[in-house]
Amino acid sequence: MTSLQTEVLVVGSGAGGATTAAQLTGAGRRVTIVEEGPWIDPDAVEPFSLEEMVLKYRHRGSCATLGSPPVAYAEGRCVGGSTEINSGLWHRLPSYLSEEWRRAYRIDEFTDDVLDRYAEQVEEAQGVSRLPSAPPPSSATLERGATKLGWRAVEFPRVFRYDQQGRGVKQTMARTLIPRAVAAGATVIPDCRVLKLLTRGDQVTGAVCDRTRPDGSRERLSIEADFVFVCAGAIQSPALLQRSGFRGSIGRGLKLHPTVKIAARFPSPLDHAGVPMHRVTEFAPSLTIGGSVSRKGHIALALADSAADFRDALDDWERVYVYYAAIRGDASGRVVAVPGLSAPVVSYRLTDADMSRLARGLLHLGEVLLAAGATELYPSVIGGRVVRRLDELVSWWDALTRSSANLMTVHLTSSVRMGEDRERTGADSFGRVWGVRNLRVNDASLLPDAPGVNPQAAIMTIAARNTDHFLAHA
Amino acid sequence: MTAPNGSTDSAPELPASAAVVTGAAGWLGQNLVRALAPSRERVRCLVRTDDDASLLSVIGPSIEPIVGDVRDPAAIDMLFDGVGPSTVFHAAGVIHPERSVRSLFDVNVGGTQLTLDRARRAGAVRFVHVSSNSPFGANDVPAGRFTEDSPYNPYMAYGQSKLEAEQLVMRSYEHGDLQTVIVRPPWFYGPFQPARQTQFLAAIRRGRFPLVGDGTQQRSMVFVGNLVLGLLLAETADKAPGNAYWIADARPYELREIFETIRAALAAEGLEVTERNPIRIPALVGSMAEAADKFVQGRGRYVQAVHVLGELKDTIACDISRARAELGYEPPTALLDGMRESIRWCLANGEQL
Amino acid sequence: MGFTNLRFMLPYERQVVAALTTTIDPERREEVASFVEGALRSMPEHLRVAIGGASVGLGVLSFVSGGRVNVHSLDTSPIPQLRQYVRMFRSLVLFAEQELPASPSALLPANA
Repeated sequence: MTSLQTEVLVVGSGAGGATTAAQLTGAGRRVTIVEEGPWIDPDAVEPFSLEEMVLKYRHRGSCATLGSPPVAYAEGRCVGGSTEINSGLWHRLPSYLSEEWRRAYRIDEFTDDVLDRYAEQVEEAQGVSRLPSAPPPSSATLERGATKLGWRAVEFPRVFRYDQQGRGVKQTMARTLIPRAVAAGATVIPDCRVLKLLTRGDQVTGAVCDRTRPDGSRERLSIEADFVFVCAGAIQSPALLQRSGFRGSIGRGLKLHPTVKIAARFPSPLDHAGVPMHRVTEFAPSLTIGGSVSRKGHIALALADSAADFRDALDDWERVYVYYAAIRGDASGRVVAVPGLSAPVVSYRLTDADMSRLARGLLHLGEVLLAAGATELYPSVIGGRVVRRLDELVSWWDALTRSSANLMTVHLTSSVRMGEDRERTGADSFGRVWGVRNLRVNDASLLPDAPGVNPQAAIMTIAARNTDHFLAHA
Repeated sequence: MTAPNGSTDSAPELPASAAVVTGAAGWLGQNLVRALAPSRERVRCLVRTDDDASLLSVIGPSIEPIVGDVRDPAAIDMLFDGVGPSTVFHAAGVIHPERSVRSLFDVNVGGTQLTLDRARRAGAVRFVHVSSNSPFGANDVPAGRFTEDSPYNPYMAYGQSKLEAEQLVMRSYEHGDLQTVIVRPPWFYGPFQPARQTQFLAAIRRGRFPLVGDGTQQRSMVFVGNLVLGLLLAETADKAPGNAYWIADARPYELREIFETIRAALAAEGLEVTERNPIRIPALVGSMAEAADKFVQGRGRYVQAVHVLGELKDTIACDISRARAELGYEPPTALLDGMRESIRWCLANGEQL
Repeated sequence: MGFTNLRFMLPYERQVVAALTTTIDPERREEVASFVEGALRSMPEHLRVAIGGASVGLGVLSFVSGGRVNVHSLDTSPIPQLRQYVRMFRSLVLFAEQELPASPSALLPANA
């Protein structure tokens, strides 16, 4: 067994972990980051490619919740976490949500001024911008459809920086905060899975890890630390805490954005390299409409969902694009680490109201796509009718059922939850795990509820706030 | 709350010369459409079937029925097609789903969203939304009264669906999309009643309807004529937009008073009424029915008898002071007269009492 | 190398993948199968066990009823889990067929 010693151990290197580590090293703390996944040069792999899926996704992207219907979900598993694989859309936590969360979970120092201050700080460091030029056709399509219906649509800013030629580069953690932390003295240990945290009394003393060396051989690595931040995401953070003996409400309350999709065929070709930055916000936050990654493979998957004959549309894939409707549901799920299994069991049961919202989302999405000029709509509903006219949409209400809906999500939050309401939270207002003096959670798990939009901005803002709190108190 | 821009720049003339009514062939809808028909240039009516369309067409030349599903974007497009500045009365909704709980949300929430959206696009002058007492659950004590400031506490799936619909309506107002008014009626009675209400009256007549608990629990009820008056006032009152109002009879009644009044009304209309007192069921049975209802609804199913039994044990009463003050609402009909009118309607229409 | 190692797929699963794969190029077919194998190997154990259990059951049924994998009957099965089963395989095969680069062996190390 190899062992090493550090002041602060950060488990995970995604939006939460990288923010934490960069801020701590900036303040002169000695930090070690362990990351279960590999460290891959962000320029080496084409975004949204199969190669990216194999190298950077947990379970190579093949994973789903238990429930009726199951919800397929994807997470990053690499240095930089999900920021390496997401669309980079940036959405500050809206103030009505922070207010609701502050009241419902009794979160201290969670006011707009505080959050805005940290959001600005993060945005400045990270680079958040809008398109320097006209939106690509896939994005303009949504805007056009929404305008025609009189629905609100906005271009979301993204964590992108643009060069002189207007080429944008997504500011992933592996490009920004991880190198910054390393330059300030942090150690990053990739390919290193934390098996469990070690405790003594009301303290954690470190962690035992399973590390894969560059040559493929494996070793046990023991890390002693004065403080531990668990930032492994909404699935892995509660699982690690449970494996280490912390239970209570940890792992309960998991939230996600169940999502339905439509593959829409248009008269003219669209762009297929990126993700649309426009979102229809007319029904937000309970329902958001946007565009998905639409390489040929994704289009094939989306076309196949309805089980209609799609060969003709797939041959014409350059005129096809995949759009989605995501809901904020009533339901919540659970993460349970089962002894002997390396992956936790994740369950999520949608309510009837959620199923209805998904059907409504599918119809509204259909409306906006038809208004934008789509000629054929393939819904992600088994046996769902391929729609060509507005009066055919109504059939989707009854077509979408628990046994026919194909759902997915890329946003997972709320499996630990922060606040002073000890009944419903796993950590206090600043992410300190209840009952442990030197253990904090600092990632998507802390969000008390699903934000209805890409959670990266909220995660980084809250992580920056909590890290500051740590620096002021420890 | 932000002030709405309104859907037209100049102050609209109210009442609007056109009305759009969803759920037009329903219990409330039929009463409302009859009240609107003589005074409006056109009354666009959303109905489910061709039979319902012919039923309404005979009311008068202003009636323009559109057959369609309130969940269908194309049907709602037709409903608003060329209608001009209008008042929308959104009365379509499912109270007792045939089987699955999901349809409560599909129709009550999904239908409301679609109707709001098309009303906005059509430049509707005002949107009067028919809600329910259900988003508020039951009063804590028999003397309790809901006001417009009472907190939401939805009763099961129906209450949840009507709550969400109210929230969509309020959002539409806050966004400046529409001038909205929410009207919250409790339990209706009156002409054009559905079979379930006729069965209820018949069971009271035969002493077969159970009285849950001691019968001192209070219920607000609303005679449909009173409710139609409330809706028409909501259409024109200056203070109404952005608000919600309880619209009910002048005062709540004790459940045992309701039963006795129905018996008196039946007798007054010349019907023989049993001497037997109603079956009494302990309140505990009501609670058990409520638990059973919750259980089956949790599994997506709906059993009407169990639902009704579970709800009968509670006081569900409201205070209409704000409607009186801001709408000038003064309900002209009280329980005995209203029930007699219902019974006369049943007899005239060959309903088995 | 991962491309010739299909140990992690059960015989029935290999048949399903073969039935769903459209390309006729044998090398490409093996690459697709290999990608599916990698995905099965990477998924959470409890999901893999559930899929494996279904595969064993369906394999026995298919053997008893004389042999060939009938994808259509899975697609139209009244049991939602079976439709999900075939959908999962179809998703993996479709994605691989569209997205596997022309020369994939360069990017898929056996232990990725």
